[in-house]
Amino acid sequence: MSGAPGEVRPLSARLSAPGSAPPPPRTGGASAIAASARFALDPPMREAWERALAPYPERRAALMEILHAVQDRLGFVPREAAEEVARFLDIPDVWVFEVLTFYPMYRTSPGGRHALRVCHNIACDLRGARRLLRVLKERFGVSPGGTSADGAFTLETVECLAACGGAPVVDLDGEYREGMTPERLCEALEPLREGNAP
Amino acid sequence: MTGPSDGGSTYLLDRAEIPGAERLSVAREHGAYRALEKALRGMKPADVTEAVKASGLRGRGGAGFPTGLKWTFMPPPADPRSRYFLLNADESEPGTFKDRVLLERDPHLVIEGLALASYAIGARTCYVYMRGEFRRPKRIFEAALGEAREAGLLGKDLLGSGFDLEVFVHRGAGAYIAGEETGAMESIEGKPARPRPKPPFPAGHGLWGCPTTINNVETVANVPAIVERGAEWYRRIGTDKSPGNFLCGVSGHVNRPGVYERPLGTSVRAILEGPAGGVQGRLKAFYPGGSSTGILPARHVDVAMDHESLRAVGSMLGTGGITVLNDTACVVRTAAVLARFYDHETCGQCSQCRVGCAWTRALLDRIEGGAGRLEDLDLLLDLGSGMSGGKTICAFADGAAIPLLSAVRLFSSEFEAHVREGRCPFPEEPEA
Repeated sequence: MSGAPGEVRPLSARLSAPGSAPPPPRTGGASAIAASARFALDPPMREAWERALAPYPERRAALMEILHAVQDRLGFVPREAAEEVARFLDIPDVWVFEVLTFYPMYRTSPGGRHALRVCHNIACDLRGARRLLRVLKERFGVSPGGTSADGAFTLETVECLAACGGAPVVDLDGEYREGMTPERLCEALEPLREGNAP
Repeated sequence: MTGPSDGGSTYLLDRAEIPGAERLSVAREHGAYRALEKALRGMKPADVTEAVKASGLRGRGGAGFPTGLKWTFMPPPADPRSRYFLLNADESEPGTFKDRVLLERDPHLVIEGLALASYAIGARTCYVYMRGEFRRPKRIFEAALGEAREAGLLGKDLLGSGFDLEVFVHRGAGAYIAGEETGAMESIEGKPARPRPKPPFPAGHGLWGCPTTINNVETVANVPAIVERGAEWYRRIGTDKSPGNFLCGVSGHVNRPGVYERPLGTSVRAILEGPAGGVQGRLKAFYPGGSSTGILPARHVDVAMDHESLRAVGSMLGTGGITVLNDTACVVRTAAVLARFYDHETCGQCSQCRVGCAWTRALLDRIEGGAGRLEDLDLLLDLGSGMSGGKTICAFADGAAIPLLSAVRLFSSEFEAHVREGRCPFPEEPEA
């Protein structure tokens, strides 16, 4: 290594080397929110939305809980629901879209029948998360961000789930499975595959 | 999950060890709510604050700020605005998994702690910001809230004292930055969790512009013991400047990963070789307090887990979660994993952070992938220094820079080996 830590070379000198420029900003946003005819503000849903208002002095504060309620029912939050939520809370659509796309737990497109989240942060990485991802690809044909061909599993890699003592950890349909091995993971998933429904 | 076997005093995990302690009847048999009764029947709010101040309790969420002092920042009771207590249960710092244990195993300790804190600062509404992934802790904690309310320990006129307290759980949705104090407030208000510029500070201008105090779960779990047994008793545990016990989550290459209660000032070696059952393989390095603390090489294994001792060796106590790397683990890879994490989690408000996180991630991936150049190390140090030193709205960028800078400085030979050999010299899977 050359140069003291505090020494700053001109930016142009650093940018001239190939690959030294910062990566371009990410794109995405509201245009990525899928439309769906599946959404309807039926009485149970409306009731859940009304309940979500209770803890707060302002309607807007119920937004996150309402989006959770939609996702708990549909598996994702379609554009029609987001717009309906905006009307319900009496806020601009964009206030809903920005929350929906800021928080990674919200899905804006449908996934498989089962949601699989594999932690790949330090403790899990040190104790075999990579092995789990490999077996998911080999045995179930699913890669991070994708859904298996049979529609059974959507896989996401996620950051620390606060269960490092049980690393590696997998969150399967909202339930933590700790101390996962490739064998135990296959055991948990096989019965959930198409044709193996309990 | 055990307390000291060396005869030390424990008070954080005592009930968590008892099966069924999440139920009110069991918890009360084992002393739950005695401190709250004592406070509501015989202490003024200011007396509770005074006791916590005198105890020297420091926040367990990472920053270590004196808790009692924080409470005194709230405006006087004559202020007409609503007052809020916010319990931070967003536990998301990589390597940290202690609050979940309290929420699941002894929710009544947490509820008693938040009730005492709310009483002290005069808040009649408490929000618990709980990360969205915590479905099970939320279920257990909300059931405990229901039981406490039923028993008159929450709600109107607590234990006949005239003090009212409502507690609501706010579900997060997976953003690390929502654990930052004002990020959590934005999130509760229904917005993206972008931290607010400070000042104004939350005590004067928090939730909806009203006075708000925010504390971590483990922090308030200390309060019942302080109220019940007194500041003097508390000060006898731990060190002079870092009193009390702390929950140490040990993860990575140890034989018994888990959460252990120990006095602050206990050495890393005593924790690793004691309750954690020893290191698997040979110790290479460890993060002493979560991912935002500087990585330390094995030679520092005798350092004491307290704010002052860790600062003296160039790191921090942080959240008290030790992540252990044995000598088959790659420091560059670990740094790259963390850089990816910070890049994923930056809210993007400040350019130093937004650009720094993306750039350091790309450089570390390149080095770990074998395509790095020696100049990249200088660039990493340069970017890290640009991200640190309080140039940004919140401490996130500093938190991202600290593990990066420490890894490059203390393990430069490992980075250089990657560049020289054009590949990662370590096995694809660490041996554990």
